Amino acid sequence: MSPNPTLPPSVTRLIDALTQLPGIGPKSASRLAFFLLRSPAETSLALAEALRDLKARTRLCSVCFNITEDDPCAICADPSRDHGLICVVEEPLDVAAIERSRVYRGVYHVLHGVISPINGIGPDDLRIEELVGRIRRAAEVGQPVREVILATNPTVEGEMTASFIQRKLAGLEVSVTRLARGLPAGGDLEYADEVTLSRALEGRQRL
Amino acid sequence: MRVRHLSLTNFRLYARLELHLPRGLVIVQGDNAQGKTSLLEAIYFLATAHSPHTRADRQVIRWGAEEESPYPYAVLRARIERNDGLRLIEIALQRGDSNRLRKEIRIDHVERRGIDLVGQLNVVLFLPGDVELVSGAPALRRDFLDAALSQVDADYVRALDRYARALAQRNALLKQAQERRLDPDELAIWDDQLVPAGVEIAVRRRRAVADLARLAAPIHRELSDGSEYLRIIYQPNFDPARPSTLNAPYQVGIDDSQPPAGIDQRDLQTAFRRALDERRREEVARGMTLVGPHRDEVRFIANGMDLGDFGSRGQQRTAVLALKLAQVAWMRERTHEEPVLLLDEVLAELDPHRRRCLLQRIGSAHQTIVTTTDIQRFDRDFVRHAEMLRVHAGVVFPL
Ligand SMILES: Nc1ncnc2c1ncn2[C@@H]1O[C@H](COP(=O)(O)OP(=O)(O)O)[C@@H](O)[C@H]1O
Ligand SMILES: [Mg+2]
Ligand SMILES: [Zn+2]
Repeated sequence: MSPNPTLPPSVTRLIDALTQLPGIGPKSASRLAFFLLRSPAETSLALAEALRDLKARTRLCSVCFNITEDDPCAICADPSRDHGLICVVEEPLDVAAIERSRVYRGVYHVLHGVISPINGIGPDDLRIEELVGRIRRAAEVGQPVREVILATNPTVEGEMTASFIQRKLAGLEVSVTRLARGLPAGGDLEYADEVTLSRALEGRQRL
Repeated sequence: MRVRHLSLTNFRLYARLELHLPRGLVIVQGDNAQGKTSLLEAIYFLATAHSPHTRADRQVIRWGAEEESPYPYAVLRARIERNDGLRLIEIALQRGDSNRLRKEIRIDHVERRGIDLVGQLNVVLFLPGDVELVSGAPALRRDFLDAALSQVDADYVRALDRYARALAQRNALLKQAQERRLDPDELAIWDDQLVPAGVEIAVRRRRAVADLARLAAPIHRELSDGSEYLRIIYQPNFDPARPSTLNAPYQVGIDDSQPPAGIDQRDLQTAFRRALDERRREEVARGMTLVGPHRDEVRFIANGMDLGDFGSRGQQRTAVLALKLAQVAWMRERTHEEPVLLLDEVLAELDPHRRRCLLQRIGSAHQTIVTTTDIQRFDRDFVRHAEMLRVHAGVVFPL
């Protein structure tokens, strides 16, 4: 949609920026922009500050690639976690979901997506090589990884990404398991409740 | 089964419709562009969550609804009477930003997925353009099989969905292979998905075509005055052992429902994989998958002649009518429920003999909804037992 010529540029600029967000089209973007216009200045300022800090303060953990303010992240730095157990997930939000369930004591590896040739995403665009390197290095320093849990979503793309990783880990001394199925309708970890998640973790199967 | 009550909001030209539908025969009369096809389309939509014209889902929301709301919506609701009781199906469609269509499905007031709709309401739809099924492109015959199986077999729907996604991904990857070197595992993972899903589709299609062929043959004989013998043959795109059955077109009584003896799903998977391997180079060159059920064919043979290539228009029509009537019997066999029959102006294109045969056969259905522009086409006797409705500009009233 072309910007409305009757709106001042500062409003259309915000609408255009909001339209870049997933799930937000021109109509929702306009509604949000006019909501902010009507709201006190503090609302917009707080939002602007949060947006600026989002990029300025965060980075990816150099071990697990989760989003963090400190490197390594709190989970990777925690000696009480089981570093011989790695749970591989698609997105940082999946880490948050599993952490909420409080049944998992291992560490993570965040891929940042799934293999999807349609979207131009190949294995090189994900943190797969880094996972293999991480497992190799752990073995070299005498702290081998015992098990890798592939916890990508049960979508076709999630399954295939898990299958690709499994092939890449085939030569290593590590047992590879897959999260048990039976997650809710959409299948996203993000929406799984705590009970289903802990069941999925307990029922994981060896590949 | 039957539809007891149909309620529409903003579906096609129906701003609002509350319609009670009786058991038996319902004749809907109306001039052109008054809403006859849309009425049948709505019932089909409630059965399948799709418009019969593929990719038309987005267009079913009433155009005028746009001015009334920034996010126009349509609601379809049907109360179904089945052997095992009553059921309420509701589908809400809403157009959101960037032209996305949100579908919400409820069965007995509980939100469900599309796959849960399978088997709730079964319909067989007869359309004026159906003759294309025999005379048109192979994709139309595959679509017919997919639509028929998707109404009765949830596993088929799942396999089809997985296959379609793997196929699209694999094709995208093959195109990339022209520009960069692929990791062999990259292609292998899609094959791992494509092959079992493809075999599952092929096995189920084979069985369905065999069943349909068995049921269609006697119907066809009756429709053609006993002068022709119809065979419907499934030709899978990869077939490990069987040379084309067309080599012996007169041969009858073959059991096509099972793969040839000694061949199981594992053999079929091996054959599929081998076919993919053999054509890998060609696939990369053309940037697409060249083997699999997306290239299957179904052929209609009468007295040794392929009706798609050589049949007269009349012969093609007869074959399609036999197929559709066979589909009714097939659905009954598979679901133990009587499907609802939806006939959209199909009587107009039939000669008196075939029309009589058709009317006789639909007499046994629990519910048949027939549309027509001209009520004179029906025998008086036939009309006497029917509920007569008239539709005008999206409003339905008793005739
Ligand atoms: N989404 C829609 N909103 C409003 N009207 C529509 C929509 N889709 C089709 N129509 C109109 O509905 C009419 C066609 O209805 P249809 O059921 O095909 O009629 P019939 O089968 O009686 O000839 C046409 O006038 C067409 O323009
Ligand atoms: Mg029509
Ligand atoms: Zn970390």
